[in-house]
Amino acid sequence: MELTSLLDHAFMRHALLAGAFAGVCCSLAGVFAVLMRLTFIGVCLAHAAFAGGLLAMVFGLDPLLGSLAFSLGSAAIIGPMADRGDISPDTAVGIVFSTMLGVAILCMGLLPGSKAEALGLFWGNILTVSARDVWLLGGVTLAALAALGLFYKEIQAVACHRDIAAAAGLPATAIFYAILCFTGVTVTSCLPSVGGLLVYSLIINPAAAAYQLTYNLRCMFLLAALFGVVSCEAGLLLSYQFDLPAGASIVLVSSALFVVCAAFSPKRGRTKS
Amino acid sequence: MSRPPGENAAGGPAVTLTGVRVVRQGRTVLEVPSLEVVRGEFLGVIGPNGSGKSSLLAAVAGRLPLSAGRVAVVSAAGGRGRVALAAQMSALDPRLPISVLESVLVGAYAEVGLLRRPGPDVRARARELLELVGIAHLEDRPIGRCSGGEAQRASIARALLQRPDVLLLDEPTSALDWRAQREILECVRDIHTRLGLTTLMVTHELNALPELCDRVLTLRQGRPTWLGPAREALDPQRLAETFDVPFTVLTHGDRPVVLF
Repeated sequence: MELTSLLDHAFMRHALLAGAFAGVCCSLAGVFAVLMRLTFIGVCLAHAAFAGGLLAMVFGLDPLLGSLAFSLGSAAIIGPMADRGDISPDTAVGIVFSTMLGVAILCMGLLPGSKAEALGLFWGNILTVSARDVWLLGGVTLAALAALGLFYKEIQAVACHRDIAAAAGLPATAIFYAILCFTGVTVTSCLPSVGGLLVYSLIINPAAAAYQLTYNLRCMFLLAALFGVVSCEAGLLLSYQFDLPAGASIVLVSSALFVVCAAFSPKRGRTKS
Repeated sequence: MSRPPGENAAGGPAVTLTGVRVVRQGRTVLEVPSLEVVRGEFLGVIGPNGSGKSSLLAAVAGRLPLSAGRVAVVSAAGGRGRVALAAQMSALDPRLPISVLESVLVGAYAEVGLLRRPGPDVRARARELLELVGIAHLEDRPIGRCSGGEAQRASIARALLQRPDVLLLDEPTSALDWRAQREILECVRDIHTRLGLTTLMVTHELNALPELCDRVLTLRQGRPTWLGPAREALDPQRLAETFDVPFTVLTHGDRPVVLF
């Protein structure tokens, strides 16, 4: 496999760029999800984005707009619902998840004609990603990196110690909701390339792999982003070489990375001293 | 560990609650008509679970919306006083990627402000406080891998980094073994005296009250039922009425000891 011949194809250049951007922004969102023990939120927001995209298609609108509105709306509902204390965070996420799944299936039934485009939102196809989608992913990734650089200490405080951060006078709730909204935007931007079903793996696996290896949050962000990019690019190359489905290859590489990191984790078997 | 009660109290109100009422989901969880904590005083707060102890601390910390009344915290200079809460340390994930020093620095982040990093002066002060609470050697250890007592010391250092006039401690000895409990209480009183703080401590450690506190406030169903000198707090009749279980108080040496 020649790299130059690989890059001769515009679709492959787009795919590799989209993979790099998706790998970074999904992994950053994953670090928050893993640290705050809200890993199911990725699934919920992905299904919300899928449902929003389908609803937009039913009304003849741009699916990305619908996806963005629904994923942000779901993030805005989950946060306050979980914080009110009347129901547990798991239950809040579960209610929103099942509702979104219902909306998605309803819209799928309402869509006239072929369901291929609708299913494309679910499975994604990184090999057919458009220049607009790459720009969107790049913009989200750069915005996420900038926010992480500017607000690192606040993000660290809330991701690791939300209650303590609030007690110390930080706007912990606002930061938490901003993190949820960022996750929603990330999921939406990944929908055309990675798809609603597989984006969850790309959010969780690289971050969970990085969590096995370090006690330093900066290292965890770096490792997670590295694992995310490696998963996407290696998955794409495997897909190209062996004619495999690209999304599945990406997810399986990220899962393999997690297994290796968990097996060699220095944290294994360590307890409080 | 003994000192005359009130030796650190310097007069003048540091915390004043007037007609405070907190209602949650239609239920009054705290109702304090009047309470004044003198500057430099160490006030112990006791009562059964759900009696409003933590709500009282949250109200003083300004973290609980009041349905009525007001809470005034005054600094020694006469301005608005700073309050810091050292919360109960719940079980932390041992894999959490944040060190003891980083965790303590969280206490300074609000003062440092957005878009700015804590400077060398803030880090130096955090290290001084770690030294003060006796865990300077653990600054690089992941906070989740500390013992309960070490994590509680880090919590106190974090609160002190906020340079409080009033320190609030919410059950600092909960879930600790006997030795760690004693060490934390000694640490708390040492800090209170050395830094000239006003301290409000919620505790179930009744036997420590006479040695540690100047006065004790008893709460039941959100309302104060008794406020008086710590040496008079361990009255078996009053404790029985407060906690709904019979108490026996013996004297061991010159110390009252609660049995229940």
